[in-house]
Formats: sequence, C-alpha cells, structure tokens
Amino acid sequence: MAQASGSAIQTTDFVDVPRAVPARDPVSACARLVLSGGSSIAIGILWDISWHRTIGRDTFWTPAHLAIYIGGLLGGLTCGWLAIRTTFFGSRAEREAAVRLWGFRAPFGAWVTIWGALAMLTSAPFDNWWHNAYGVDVKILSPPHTLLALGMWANVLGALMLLLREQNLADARQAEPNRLAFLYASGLVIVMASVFLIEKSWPNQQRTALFYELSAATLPVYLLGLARASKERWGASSIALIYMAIVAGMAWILPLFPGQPRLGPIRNPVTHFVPLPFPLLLIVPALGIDLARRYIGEASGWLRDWLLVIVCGCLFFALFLLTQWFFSAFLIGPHAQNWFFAADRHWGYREGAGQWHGQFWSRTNPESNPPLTFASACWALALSITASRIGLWLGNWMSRLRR
Amino acid sequence: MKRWVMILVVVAAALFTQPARAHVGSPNVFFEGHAGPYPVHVVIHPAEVIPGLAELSIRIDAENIKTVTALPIKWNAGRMGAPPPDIAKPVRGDPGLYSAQLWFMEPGAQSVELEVQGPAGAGRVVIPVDAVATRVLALPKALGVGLAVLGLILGGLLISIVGSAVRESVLTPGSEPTPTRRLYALGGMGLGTVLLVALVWGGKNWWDAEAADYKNNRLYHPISAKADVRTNGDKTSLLLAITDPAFARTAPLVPDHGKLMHLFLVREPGLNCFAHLHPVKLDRASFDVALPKLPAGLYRLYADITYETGLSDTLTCRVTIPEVTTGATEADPDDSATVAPPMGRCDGTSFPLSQDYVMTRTGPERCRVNQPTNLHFVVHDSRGKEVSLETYLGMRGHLALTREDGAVFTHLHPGGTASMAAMQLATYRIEGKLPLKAAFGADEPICQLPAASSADQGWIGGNPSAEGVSFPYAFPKPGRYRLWVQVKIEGGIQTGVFDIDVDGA
Repeated sequence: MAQASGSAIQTTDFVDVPRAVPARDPVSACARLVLSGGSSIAIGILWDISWHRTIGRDTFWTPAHLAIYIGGLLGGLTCGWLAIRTTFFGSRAEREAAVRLWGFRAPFGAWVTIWGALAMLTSAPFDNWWHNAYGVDVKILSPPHTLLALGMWANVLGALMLLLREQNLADARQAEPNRLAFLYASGLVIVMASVFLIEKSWPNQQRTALFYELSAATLPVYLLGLARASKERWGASSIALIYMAIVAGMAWILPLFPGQPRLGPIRNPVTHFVPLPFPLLLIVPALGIDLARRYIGEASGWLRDWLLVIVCGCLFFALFLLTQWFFSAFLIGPHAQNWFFAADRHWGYREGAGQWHGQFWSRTNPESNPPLTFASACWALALSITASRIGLWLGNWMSRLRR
Repeated sequence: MKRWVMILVVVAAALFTQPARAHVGSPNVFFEGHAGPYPVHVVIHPAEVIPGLAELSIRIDAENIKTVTALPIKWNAGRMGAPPPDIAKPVRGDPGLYSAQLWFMEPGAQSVELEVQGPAGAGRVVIPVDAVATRVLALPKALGVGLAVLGLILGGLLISIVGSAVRESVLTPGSEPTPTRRLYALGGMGLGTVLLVALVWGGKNWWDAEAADYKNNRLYHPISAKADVRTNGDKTSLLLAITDPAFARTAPLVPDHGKLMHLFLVREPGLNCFAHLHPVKLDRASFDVALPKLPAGLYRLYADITYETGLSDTLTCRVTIPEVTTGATEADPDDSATVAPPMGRCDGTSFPLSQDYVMTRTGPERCRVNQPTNLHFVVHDSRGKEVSLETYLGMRGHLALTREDGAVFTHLHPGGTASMAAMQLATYRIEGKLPLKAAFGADEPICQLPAASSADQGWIGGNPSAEGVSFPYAFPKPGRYRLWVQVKIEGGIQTGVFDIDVDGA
C-alpha cells in the first residue's frame, strides 16, 4: 500500500481482507483493452468537437467518429466476450471473482462498460431522428448526445473499475499493479466530465454562477472519490495533472493540423484545427484535497470522513474559485494568445472576432450568464461539500471493489 | 345545401390555417434562366429543418460541360463568408442533369450560387432560397418502440448494476452475500429506480423544452394579418393590417417589381373570382388598396412580400367583401380582377380572354404530382394568329395557382418561383453592390434596389420560347388546381383561367 508509508495516513480496514486473484486472470488484459478503448473515446470526443468547430461538415466516417465508436466497440465487445467467457467457460475461481447479473457472470467493471457501449449504440438512432426532427445540432449537449456522452463516460468508468478490481485483489506483499493505469483512467473520466461542462465553462463564462455551481457539484466527486480509491498520497493531484495534460495536449496538438470550414456562414475563417480552451487549473484545488487527506488521515470512521468532506468541500470551492477567477481573466486577455494557452485559437468558424472574445459574458450578457453572487457562491459551497460527501462514499466503496 | 356549403367552408378554413410560406404548401424553388451563356433549369428542395440539407437538381441545355458547382451563401455573410462550393454530380443515364446536396446551417434568407464551367467559359447565376424550418416530425412508432425497448434494457441493466454493486462487488471472491447485504442491495436498487425515474423525467422535460423551443422559435410561423373592408362613398377599399408582434422586429419590406405587396384575392368556395392588387403602405404594418369590381363573398387573401434580407413570405387571411359595383378610379394600373366559371367548369386547355383573344395551354391535360413541367400558354386572336405579349410587371406574364382546398398557393414567374426583389438582393449583395445588413425594425430599408438591368433579363425572361409564356413548376400535391395566367395585351391585363387535375405519383 502506497499510503501505508505516509506518516499521517493510516492503513484502512481493507488491507486485512483476504485476497484471491485467479490464476492467469484474463481480466487484466481485458482491462487494458477497455482502457485503450476509453482513451480512443476521450481523444475522439475532443477531436470530434474540434472537427465540428473547424470543418463543420461530417459524416459517420470521420476519423474522430471512428475513434469514438471503435473505442466503444472495443470496450463493449471485450467486456461482452469476458461475460460469455466467465459465464460459460470460466474456471470456478474466475466465476467466483465476478458478479452475477441476469444469469451471466462478469467482473463488475465489465457490466459498466457493457452498459456504456449499449447506451452509445442506443444514442445513434435517437440522434439520427433528432437531427431529422430538429436539425443538426450546433451545440454539444442535446438529449441524444447526453445519452452518448453517458455511454462514453460509462465505458471509461468500466475500464477504471476493472483496473481497480485488479489493484484491490493484488497480494498485499506485492507492489500493486495498475497504479499508473488507474490514475490515467481517472484522468480520462475527468476529461469526459469536463466535456459535459464545456458549454458552461468557457473562459468567458468563468465568472458566472452556473459555472461555479456545476463545477462544485461534480468535480469534487471525482477528485476526492478517485483519490480515495487510488490510495495514492497525491492521488487527486496526479489525476488532475493527467486531466490537464490530456486537454492541454490536445490544445497544443490539434492546431498543428490544417483545416478549413466546409460549412457556412463562416464568421471566423480558421485555417487549422480549433482546440477546446486551456483546461481548468484543477491541480490547485486537487493539491488542497491531497493535503487535507494527508493531514486528516484516511482511516475509517464516520467522524474523520465527515471532517474530510467538510474540509475538502470548502478547500475545493475556495481554491477553485480563487484560481479560475483570476486565471480566466488571464485567459481572455492578450497574454494568453499564444500556442501554450491557445486563447486566440479556440474560437470556431461560426464565432466571429469581436470584443466579446475578450469579455466576461456575465458582464456583457448577464441575463443569459448570471454572474456569481454571494448567494450563489454559498450555494456552490454547499454543492461542493455535498459532492465531496458523495465522492468519499463512492471512493470508500471503490477502494473495496474486488469483483 | 347551405349547410353543406358551411361545412365545406369550415373544412377549407381548417386546411387553410396550415403554416404559410412564400408559396403556401409549395416549398420547392424553381428557376429557369441562364448561368452566363448556359441555359439552366434548377429545382431546389429546401432543407425542411435548419441546419439541414437542401437537394439540388440542375439541368443544363448545353454540351461538353466541365463542372457544375453550387455554393450556399447567407444574405449577411456574402461570398467571403461562404464555404468552398460543392461539386454537382452528373446523374447517370440522364445527360445534362446534375445533382447536389447543400447544407444550410442558419435560418433566414440564403442563396445558391451556381457556377457552370463549359466550352464558353464560366457562367454564374444566383438563386434565392428561404432557409426556414417547416418540418414537424413525429417519432415513428417502430423507432419509438425500439428506443423504448432499448431504454428499458438500459434502465434495467443500470438498476441491476447498482444492485450488484451493493450486493457482491466488494465481496472477496468465493464468498456469498449475506441476507443483510441482499437487503441493502434491494434498497440500493429501489433508490436507483427512483433516481432513474427522476433522470428519465428530467430528460423528458428537457426533450419537451427542446421541442417547444423548436416549435416556438425555430419552426416557421406565418405572420398573422387581418383584413377589413371600408366603404367611403363610391370607394370601397381593403385595409390589410399585419397584427403579428414579431413583424415589428423584422427587416423592412422592399419593392418587388415596383410593388411592396402583391395581394391575391380568391373567392370561396368556387374560386370563381380572382384579383391581383398592389396595396400601398399606410404605415409599417398597414396597407390599403382600392377594390375593383367584385361580387360579394368570402375571399381568401394571399399577400406576397419580400423583406430587405431577401426572405419572402406570404401572409394569409380571409375577409368577407360586400359587392363592389363601382371599380376604383384611383387604382394601380397593374391591378386586375376577373370573374370566371366556378372550379371544375373551366377547361384545362383553353380559355376565352375576350371576344378577340383566346389563351391556350399546351402540353398534357393532366399533370402528375412532383413531375417538373413547363406550364406553357399562348394567346391567339380571333383569326388564329398568335398575339405578342407585352411586359406586365417586368415580365411576360404572371401565374397564380391554388389547389381547390387552399392547401397550395403559389405565384410563379417565367423565371421561376423567386421574387425579383429577392433575386436582386442576393445577386447585388454577392457582387458587393449592396450592404450585408438590413434595417431591422425600421420603416425604410437601407438597400435601394435599382430597376431590373439587362443582366436580370436572363432569369426574368425564363424559358426563351418563341411564343407565349411558360412557367417552370411541379405540382407538390395531387388534386384539382385552378390557375390564373396574367398577361398584358394592347395595354390591358388579361387573365386566363384553367383547371388542372393532378394525379398522385
């Protein structure tokens, strides 16, 4: 256990639980395959959003779509095969290390990925009808896209749980496998979550009430929960860094490729692929969460958990607010207009240049972007504490996942 | 008998309340003219939802054509804001016919610039297209059932996953869940079900909100108007008021071949009386026109207008008109009215305009739905000699047609369905001769349209047939149609009336 060496961190009860890893467990290989699929999905969705904001026109066969659906199929088929294998051809040990569902047996994460793949498939005819009924979406979130996004998110989450199962089942005397893979999968999950938030988290929107409320209601669940499950001393920080590296990496790589709009009207004649904005500086609140975990400790106990929840909830909100409040001002200013921060290249072909690029929309258009007020900040703080509580519950459960 | 007439009127009224467009119930754009030196016949099936795809069919009466390209251009973006053009593909087995699909991403006035490259060099023409969502699509039953089944499977699987998460996911391999844990699992599944129902309910509300947004803000709604008849001494006039609050925010109207509004009156139920009038503007939303001699009755009104953006619209309403016995003395010289036998009593092939002239329609007596056709008319005098047609409202003729029940109404020119104002606005904006803006909410437009130039004659003239006048069209729905063909002979406006049966596909 990595955390066992920490001075203030104590060992938790799950260390003493007997472990049993079936010999030649195929789940390990499957977990890596599903994680590859999850990576393909996460890269694919960032690429696809860029494609829509750069070229506009697409078909099912664009590389970005293929990356998403191949990733989904890889996860779904791998886990489907794993369920059939475990149910009908698995050894007793393999069946006993799985969960039962509708008469079949498979590791828990496999079911989550299967659900994700099925949701992605279901979204396809729904989305097609949606386009016919209401026109092709020019925004990211619509009911069928949300189903697709939930499917993609579940696909990656399933990979994470397969890795976690292996990690939790590892012999206590050996180094835990998949440590880095788990952190990477956690970063992917936060990337997926950030895509959900993107339409409300543009740098120009980072002084609105909704941005802080949505961020506070979701991000602590991941940061605290996954950090607890990771059992890493700097779990939240590592996960935040991986999220930032993926999104920033795409912001650096995509503009290297030429691309021009193939739909009109063109209000911003882009010549290269348009990335999403520079990522949220999650590393700052994540460091706060890790320090709180370190000094409060992670041993079991409802009192300690609640203390951790309240401290982490407050810390997350305070640090996140402080960071994004000033960082967003930097991002919409002239000094962020360079390849690193990409502030001058994240505007799509429909978003004509103008003063609005450099303004907070909560000031210029407060009706549709209500600014953060004291009341909404208090509400966001409450959401942050609630999300931390939910995250810790889920983290506690995940740290005991063995099937 | 009276009761039946009432029922017919009510049924017709119900049908008549369907959303109007410029060209009610007839969304396709027809164009006949020239792209530079090349004669072209174009049919555009506009996108029914925006953003959506429009289908183009282009026939070129020339040989050795190298390429045909089509470019969608929004009125306020100009060519600079247009994407690279799409290449129209030749249709196999039909030389001279090309097809293309174009994306229209934003609602409003758009246009398609066709470029033909051939032995005589490049030829271009701009065709205005109204990009407006008109489709209301219900979820097909089979798809609905399929999605419901998949949804149930997804929901069931999700709840089962929650149950297994609580029941056994944390157990050491080989151990069995205790009864307490099974109980907790049931509790978790119950809670999961509640959350799932809440999620589905939230999703349904979201869907409803999106559908309502589409219906209220993006789907085409006819601009509401009402008409009143006022009598002052010998003068009987019709006052048309645009009552829709949305009209206050629109771009101002621009004159289409010199008239801000082309108003067509059709008497119900026999469609035997027809008038083509040109009201004058009293204020931004009120128009007045002196009525010509007309029998009393209930009249359908169709008012064709063109906004400064280039978008065309047809306002519709009904009005009861008392008998007008003395025609207006101060009427617009281009106004006209005619009384003909009721629907079904007119021939589909010839109509006596007067004792001196007969108008004849050539071509098959019956038409087929959606079949492109040229409605061709020739006027002969009493000696059988073809009569030369004078220019009427800038063209060799105008044709108005309606289906018996009012579900279709359109106003055609020899060059097709587009209004002259829309053509000029689109063309001049693309050429940089007009600003890419409009005076939304103002009384007067920014753009002052010039008189039709010689360059406009390419499409104003339409099919340069040696005799008569022809109009490109394809009837959109089966049924019985009445056509009013208006031409000018010896300074007088003559209206030929024809009834045509259109068979289903």
